[in-house]
Order: sequence, then structure tokens, then C-alpha cells
Amino acid sequence: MKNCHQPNQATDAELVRQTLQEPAIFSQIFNRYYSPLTRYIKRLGCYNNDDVQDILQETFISAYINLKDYDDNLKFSSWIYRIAHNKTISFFRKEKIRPRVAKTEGEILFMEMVADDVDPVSDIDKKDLQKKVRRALEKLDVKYRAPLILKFLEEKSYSEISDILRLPIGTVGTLINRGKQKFKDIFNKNNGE
Amino acid sequence: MRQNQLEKKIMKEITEGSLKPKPRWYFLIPDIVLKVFVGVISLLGGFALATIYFILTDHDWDVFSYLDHTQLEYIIKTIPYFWIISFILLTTVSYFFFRKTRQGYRYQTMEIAAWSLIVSISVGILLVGLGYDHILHNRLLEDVPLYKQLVYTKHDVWKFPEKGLLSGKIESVENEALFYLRDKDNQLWGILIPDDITIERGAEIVPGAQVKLIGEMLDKSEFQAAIIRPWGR
Repeated sequence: MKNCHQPNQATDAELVRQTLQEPAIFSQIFNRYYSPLTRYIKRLGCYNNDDVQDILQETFISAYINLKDYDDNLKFSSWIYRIAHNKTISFFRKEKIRPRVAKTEGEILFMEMVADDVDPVSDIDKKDLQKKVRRALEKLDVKYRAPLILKFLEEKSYSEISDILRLPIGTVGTLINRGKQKFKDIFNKNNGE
Repeated sequence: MRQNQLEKKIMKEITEGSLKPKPRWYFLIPDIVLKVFVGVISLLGGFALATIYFILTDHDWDVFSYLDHTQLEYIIKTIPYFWIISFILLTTVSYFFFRKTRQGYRYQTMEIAAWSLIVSISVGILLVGLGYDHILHNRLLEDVPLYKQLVYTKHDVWKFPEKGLLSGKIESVENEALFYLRDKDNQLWGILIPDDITIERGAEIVPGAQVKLIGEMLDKSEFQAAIIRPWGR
């Protein structure tokens, strides 16, 4: 039997409209965003898998309940990232925990993109570098870390970051530049430069 | 594995009907209320600006010497601080509420401040143009006793006959050389009009007209006018 709609080709906005008619379609939104949001929540500093699952559950349920609040003038991905971002920050506040930084290869990429005047792999051992980058990132305020992660690891545009963090585009640019500078300062200070 | 478990858990709640999307109006109404509130506050900002303009232009800037003030002292006393502070507060409140609207986060602080100013100035100019700039001020002067203490108005200037400044409503006109005037404290004055009197444009010596007089107090109920000005609005 031929399926009347091809779920993977439907746009996010189409899936939202279909979900409002047929709630079971929401599973396609769930599967489309499960991995990116898991990665983003971890990058923000939530490292415990159970906590990540709790935040994801809250995010998807909130997205479903507030589905009619989605404004198709902005990207659905920005909208659902915003929910995940807010749930993660609320989790940090509620649990009174300091966000940690995941041990990923992305750290090296992050280092190369953010601290473009530091040559990461030529002088220092890769593992040692990961540790140093992580330490510097952990010290960076989440206010700066979130736009840096969205820009350099999630590869979002300034406009998308503006929609996710609910900040003017100009402020996003300022936070990214200041965040880069602060990251470099912390990194260099930690390494005795 | 975790993904499947979580998917099943969420979809079970959704399909079994324990979760339902909130209606669209639930999100739209608060946003509309916020925008209307921002609009009303900007409108009030326009009224504040129009009132500042009215108070400043309603003062007679040449009478400071009668009040034993220097020009600077008189200017400092005359500045409508209450309305300036009100305008700043209204603009600030409107900024914060605008930020809370659905699209409010997209604009820079300076952009919002500039738009808020443009709206308030436009409303202010419109009120001045239509001649409604005095309405709020005069209404508050009549109805709110505390307001009189917050602003320095022409009422506070034209009430010193001993210093040569008097104002009130013309009660009756006896002849070309004398009329009677009742001041704000309900005192009746006989006003002597010399031949060389200056009657400024808009001033009329007819019963019921409100006037300001510069001159000399002769005794407790007699005043010789040298200049007669219309009271204004």
C-alpha cells in the first residue's frame, strides 16, 4: 500500500500543520529533532544522560502543548531550539548546578573556530588541548557560551541565533565577539600566556 | 534505545489525549494586550510632551525681575520636572513592555527608544496642532490638589500684586479708566487704567475676560495697570 504522504520530505511547517490535524504525526517532529537537540543540550553543559532525557521530554511536551504558538515567520528549528535552550537553562537554575562541557571532538573544532589565532594541534598534544579547551569553556559564562555554540558548533545564522535566544541580531554579534575574546583570555590565562 | 523509549512515552501521552495543544488565542491575546498597552503608554508620552510644551510656552519669560529672580533661577524654577520625569518613566515602561511582545526581542534598544520617541513626538505635535496641549494640565490643576505642588505654573507667578503682578477675571467695567477684577483668592480689585497703558494682542477689557496685569499696587484693593495681557488658555 502506498503511503499518502512522505514524512521525511515534509517541511517542518507542514509537519506542524499535519500534527494539529493528526497528533500521531508529532513523532516525525520528535525523530527529526531528537538528535540535534540532544547534542545542543549536551553542548550547553548538561552532561548526565538521564538529565538530558528529562530536558528533552519537557522540551517535546512543551513544543506539542504550545504548537499553536509557533509563528511560521521564523524557522521551526529556531522555535524548538529556543524551547530546549530555555528548558536547559531552567534546569541549571533549578538544580543549582554549574554547566559542564562535554568531552567531544567538537571542542577542537570549537577551539579552531573561536580562537583562530591559536594553533591547536601543532604544538600541543590533542588530549591535553581538549582538557584545556574544556576548562576554558567551563569558565565561560553561559551568556557567551550559548551564542558561540550556536554559531560555531550548531552552525546557525545570526538571525536564527537571534530567534533562539530572543536577542537582537546586533546583540548576538556583540556576544559572539566578546565571547570569543573572553574564551581566548581564559584559555591563554590558564596556559600561562 | 533511549530515543525509542522517550518517543513511546511522549506519544502515548499525546495520542491518549492527556496532552492537547493550547488554543491560538491563548498566545495571541496577551500579545495584543501588551501591544495595546504599549500604544496607550506612547500616547500618554505624547500628552506629557505636549504638556511640557504648553507649560514652557505658557510662561511669561520677561517677568522674572518682578519676582526678584535672575533669569537662570526663573528658568530652573519653571522647568516642568514632573512631566519630564513622567515622560522618561512612560518611555521606559513602554520599552520594557514592547520587549515582551512576540517580536520585541528583534529590535535594538536604540531602535525601540527612537520609535517610541517618534510616536510620542508625533502625538505631541498633533495635540499641540489641534490645540489640546493644555487639556491634561488644566484638568489636573482643577481636579488634583497635589498636582499644583508638582508644577510651577503661571498661577504661581501672577499672584503677587505687591510685586506688580496680578491676574484674575474682569468682573465689571466702570469706564475707560477703571474696571473691577476678581483674583484667584476671590478678592475684588479696582484696576486703574492710565492713558499710556499697553494692551497686548488678545487682551480684552470686557466682563468675564481673564487677564494678567503688570503694574503697581496702590493699596489693599487698588492696582494701577501698566500692561494688560490675555490670560491665555
